[in-house]
Parts: sequence; structure tokens; C-alpha cells
Amino acid sequence: MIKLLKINALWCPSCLIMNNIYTKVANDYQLPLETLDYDFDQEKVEPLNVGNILPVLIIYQDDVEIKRIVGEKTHNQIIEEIELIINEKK
Amino acid sequence: MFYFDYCATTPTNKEVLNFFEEVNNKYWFNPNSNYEPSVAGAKLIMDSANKILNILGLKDSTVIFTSGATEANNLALKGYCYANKEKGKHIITSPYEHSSIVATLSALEKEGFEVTIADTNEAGEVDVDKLKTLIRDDTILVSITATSSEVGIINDIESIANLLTNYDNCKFHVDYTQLFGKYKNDLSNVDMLSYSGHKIYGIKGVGALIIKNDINLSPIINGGKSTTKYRAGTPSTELIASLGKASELIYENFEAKEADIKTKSDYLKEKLLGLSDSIKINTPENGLASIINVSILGHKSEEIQQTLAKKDIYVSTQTACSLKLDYSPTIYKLTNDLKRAESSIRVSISYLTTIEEIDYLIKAIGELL
Repeated sequence: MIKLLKINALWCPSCLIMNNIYTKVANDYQLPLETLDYDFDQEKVEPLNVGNILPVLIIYQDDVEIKRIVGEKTHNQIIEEIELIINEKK
Repeated sequence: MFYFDYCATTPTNKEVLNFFEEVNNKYWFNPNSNYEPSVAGAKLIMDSANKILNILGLKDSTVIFTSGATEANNLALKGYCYANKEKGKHIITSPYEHSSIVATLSALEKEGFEVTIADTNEAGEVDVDKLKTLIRDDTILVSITATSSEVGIINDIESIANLLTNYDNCKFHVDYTQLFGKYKNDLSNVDMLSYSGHKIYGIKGVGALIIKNDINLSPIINGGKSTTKYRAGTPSTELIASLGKASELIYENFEAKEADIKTKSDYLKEKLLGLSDSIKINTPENGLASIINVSILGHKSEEIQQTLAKKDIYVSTQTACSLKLDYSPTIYKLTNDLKRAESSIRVSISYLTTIEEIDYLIKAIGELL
């Protein structure tokens, strides 16, 4: 099962820009989308080693991380990644 | 000391400080009380509000005094959205807002509001024609900064304000914090405007949200009845009066000051670019003259800042209000160049900056290369 985890921050402009895109992708593909806050969920974010560019979208398949998308991307770019994963799964 | 961080804060004008003390000595009473010395304080608050409205050429408006622009921005966005959510839940903003706008909008998104980011041109300015296409029946608020504090992009807020007069359901908020005192705009079609005292040689801890009288807000600080229904808490008569004084003084000799800043800004940019090809100016050509965002390729932002600080030169990396990252998200978005984003600093000058100070900065940057 494919799951999405986004790490963002309230003050991050790129995160605000990407929120709609992530939500749309999650809705279009009916994928669960969890959010962690860089500042308020530090204990959970730290082990993920997200680095210093936000936002980060981590794609899991059967609870294993298979892809990480960093920073601002277009809707189509995210879709391409999701489609690749779905097709590989088939 | 060589101070080049006037966008972060400004030294308090002595005249403002003296006025603060004078008012504090005479009007220290609680202006919400109903005996004569308090009533006199409340009148001084009202006079300060009227002074600010006159300075900005605004009529039929109310000044809500706050603790600063961050609170004013929170009140504008949350206060307006909470009070008007039956009309819609769609908000439009720009990609280059101050963190107090971004964070407040992020918080509103978590509460079910939808935020759309407006398109910008190559210079980072909001594209007004494309903005029109984003407005929907459920759009209730457009919030656009007058100028980006990190890069100095200037948005055409007058055109945006004029556009939005065609949409009854949609109001226009401007974060005017970095442009107050540096420009003279026609603000008559702006519905809400925020600014702060400590950016205009006033005192930290006071700012204002100015709203048109037909705007309805839900207060975000609740309490007893005060001089305004929109913000509880005992008003600081002396801080408010000092804001009025600072607002007045910043526009004195306005044209001469701005011409002087432009000359110095051009001089600084010319000298910087003359140092090396590794120096890139990120502020657009028609950006705010007092902000010069520059990348020094091959050097990390924090390294540059610390090296300069050792020589008693003070600049910013990102805006002081952002948490530390290894790069500037704003510069990255504007230039699409991570190397520029990792090596940018913001130099911001004032009418107080001298050519000798600029020469010292240039020399220090030259030694860094």
C-alpha cells in the first residue's frame, strides 16, 4: 500500500505552495497523506533526516520508504513519480 | 559599528524616544478608565490614529493599534476570515510574503481555508492579469505584501486594489511594513493595511492594522472593552503616541531621503558587481532601493554574515523572523538557483547610511573573496 508523508513548517512559503498540490495528488489517487511539522513534531522528524530544504514528501510502499521528493514541484512532476511507483508495483 | 540591517529593525529616532518619555510622564493613566487624566490619554490615542490616517491619505477607516506587524497581520487574516467564513473560504496571496503571513495562512489552511498562491513575473511581482483568473465566487481575501522584506520586490498594490473593487465578496489586505515611509501609494482601495513602528525608527512593541470602516473582524485577543472592540488589553498611550510621531517623521523630507537612498543603493550595487563575477544581485532592477539582496557564490550565507560581523558589519541572511536553513527559500524560488540561494545575504540601507560605511562594507566583502 502506498502512503504519503509530508514534512513542512508553518512559516515555510514553499510548503504553503505545495499543500494544495499534495492534497490533490492524495485525493486523485486515494492515498493516505500524513503531515509532520518540522518544528512541532521534532522528535518524529529528526530520525527522518530531512535536511534543510522544505517541504519534503516521502512516499512509502508497505511502510518502506521508496522515494523522497524535496522542495517545490509541479503537480505533473509529483504525478509522474506516483505513476512510476504504481507501474513498477504492477 | 557598520549597520546594514535596517529591514530587520531601525535605531529609534531620538525625537520619538523623547516624545515617548514626555507622553509617559503625563499620560501614564489607563486610557480605558473614565476620569479626566485617562480620558486625556484616550484622546491622545485617537489623535495619533487620526494623524496616521491623514499621513496615509485615508478616510472612513479605523486604526487598531497592536503589538507590531505580526499581530496586525494575524488579526487581518484570522480576524477577517473567522468573521466572514460564511461568504467563502478561499484566500489568495503571493509567494514572497513575510513569515507572519505565511504561518497565519498555513494555520488557516489547517482550519479548512484554502490558499492559492498568485503567479509572479520574472522579477517576482504579482502578475495582476493572472491574479484576476484566480478569483472565485468564494474568494474572500487577497493578501499581498507591498514589498518583499528579503528581496525588495515591489508589488503593484494600487492596480491590485483597483482590480478587487470589482469583487464585492473579496477584500484586500496589504502588509505595508517594509514600504511605509519609503513610498507614497494611493491606498484608498486597500481594505486592510498592516505596519510596524520599529521599522520606521520608532519603538519595538507597537504597530497598527488600519481597516476600512465596512470591514468586520473577529478579535483574536479577547478581553474587556478597550479603546477598540477589535483588540482587548490596556492600550499603551505612550507607545501609540510614539508610533504616530514616528509615522510623521519618516515622511519628513521624503523625496530628498529617497533620492539619497537611491544614489547610495546604485553606488553599492556598482561597487559590489565590480568586485567579482561571483557576485550576483538578486533584488530586481526596479525593486526597493534600500534592499540589496546579493549572492556571493562559493561562500555560504552564514559564513559571509559571520565574517562581516567580526569586522563589526551587520547584515541578514534570510529575514530575521525565519528559522535558520542552509539556503534562502525566497532566493531559490526567485532564481531557481540553489547556489545563489545558499550564498545570499540581505544588505538594507537607510537615509542614515553613509558612503564611508558602504566603502567599508565593499572592502570587507572584497577581502572575503
